[in-house]
Amino acid sequence: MRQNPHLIDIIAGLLLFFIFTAALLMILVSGAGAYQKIAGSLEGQYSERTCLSYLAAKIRHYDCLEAVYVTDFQGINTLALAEEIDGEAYTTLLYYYDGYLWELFAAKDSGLAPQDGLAVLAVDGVGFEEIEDSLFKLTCREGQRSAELLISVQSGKKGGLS
Amino acid sequence: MKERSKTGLFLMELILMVLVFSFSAAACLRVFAYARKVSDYSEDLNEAVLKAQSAAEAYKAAGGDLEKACGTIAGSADLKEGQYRVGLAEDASQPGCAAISGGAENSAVFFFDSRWNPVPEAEACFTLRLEEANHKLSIDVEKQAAEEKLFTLQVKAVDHGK
Amino acid sequence: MESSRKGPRINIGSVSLTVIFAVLCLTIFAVLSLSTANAERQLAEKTAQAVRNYYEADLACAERAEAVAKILPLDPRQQEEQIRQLGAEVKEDIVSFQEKIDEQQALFVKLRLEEGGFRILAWQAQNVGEWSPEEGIAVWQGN
Repeated sequence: MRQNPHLIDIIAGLLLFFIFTAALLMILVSGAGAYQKIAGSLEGQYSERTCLSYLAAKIRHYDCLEAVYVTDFQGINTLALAEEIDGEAYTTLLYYYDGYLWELFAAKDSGLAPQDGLAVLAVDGVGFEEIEDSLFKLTCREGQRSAELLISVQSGKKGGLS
Repeated sequence: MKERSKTGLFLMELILMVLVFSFSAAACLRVFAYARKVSDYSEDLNEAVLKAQSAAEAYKAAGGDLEKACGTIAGSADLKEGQYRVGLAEDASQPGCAAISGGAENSAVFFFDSRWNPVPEAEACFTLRLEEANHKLSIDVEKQAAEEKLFTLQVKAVDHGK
Repeated sequence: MESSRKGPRINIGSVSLTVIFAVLCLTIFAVLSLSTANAERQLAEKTAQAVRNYYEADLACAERAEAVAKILPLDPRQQEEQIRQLGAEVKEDIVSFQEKIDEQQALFVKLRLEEGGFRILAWQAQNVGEWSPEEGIAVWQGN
């Protein structure tokens, strides 16, 4: 006499269904992981590249006599871009502070503090170094990644026939 | 009346759905792989642009002196002392850079792995090639075994011959 | 009459529903990955093109500066004429010219003529395109 002939069928069917669902879930999770990796890597690249492009564009915009130099702004490594407007000396300071690249445009020796600037871009670190006369090394850090760019300032150089 | 078991129908449906899902997953996997390839290309292009720019700026800062420019590039990329030399075609075994010079034309090659770290030629995935002719420097970034160049630039230093 | 004791069982269609949901999710992830990667590729190519444009203008300016240097040994009258022929402006001992980088930017160069050559006073990339300010009102900034 058969006792519950369908019970084994039902249990086997349920088991198959759960195994199949588990496999589906695993594939979905790995798909989500793949998307997360792509999006995460691109986000990191974006910050670095935008930061360096922005700094390079700024330096090229201010490339005239003695306008670009690396300085210390209240203990913070800063890139200073000097200009004269209506006879008054102004400086644009670019520095890393509190998780952002900041920009502060003010009269020279205005006595302003780092937090008085404008937070431009969220990054994990920005460094400025004048490695040679008129050659600057810009470094940008985002998480584990780091990118560098060399920029030279043309103004002040002598030219002639070789 | 015997109740007909629906397990057979269920199993048939399960098999059909496994088939359908395998086809869909295969198609989606191809899309993921292509997206990954495009993402890697963007990353490589960004790095190539940065490296080429840095080389161009180092050359301009060096006043058209390729040897000095290569020294600056090697220095900023933290190649160890004694691991970099310019001018010896046979010395391609030095990690990070090999330079070939001959006659009026000078050139230098930098080698990078897939993560853009400087490596010896044997492990290179990318090359940064600098070729100078008539005081004009051509910068090419190439991927090994790829037909097209990733990025090219031409630059001329103004203050050569000082 | 048999009372049908129905044990636990899965209805026909549960598997189909699950698979449809899974395929939908996977397709969404795949499409999102592709569109993100594509957008990034376009941005990388735009950046590369912008850098190429800058260095093309830079090269042109360097060549023009070299041409100015070649003119310097000539006498002052000829110098001025030849420099103007190069497309540069001369005011006393300052030579200035510009080279277009793209629709929005140009590279402005200023040289001061000195004995034996020149000194670069400025080599600036400046905005020449039209800029219209954003006139919308910031309604909500997410805080």
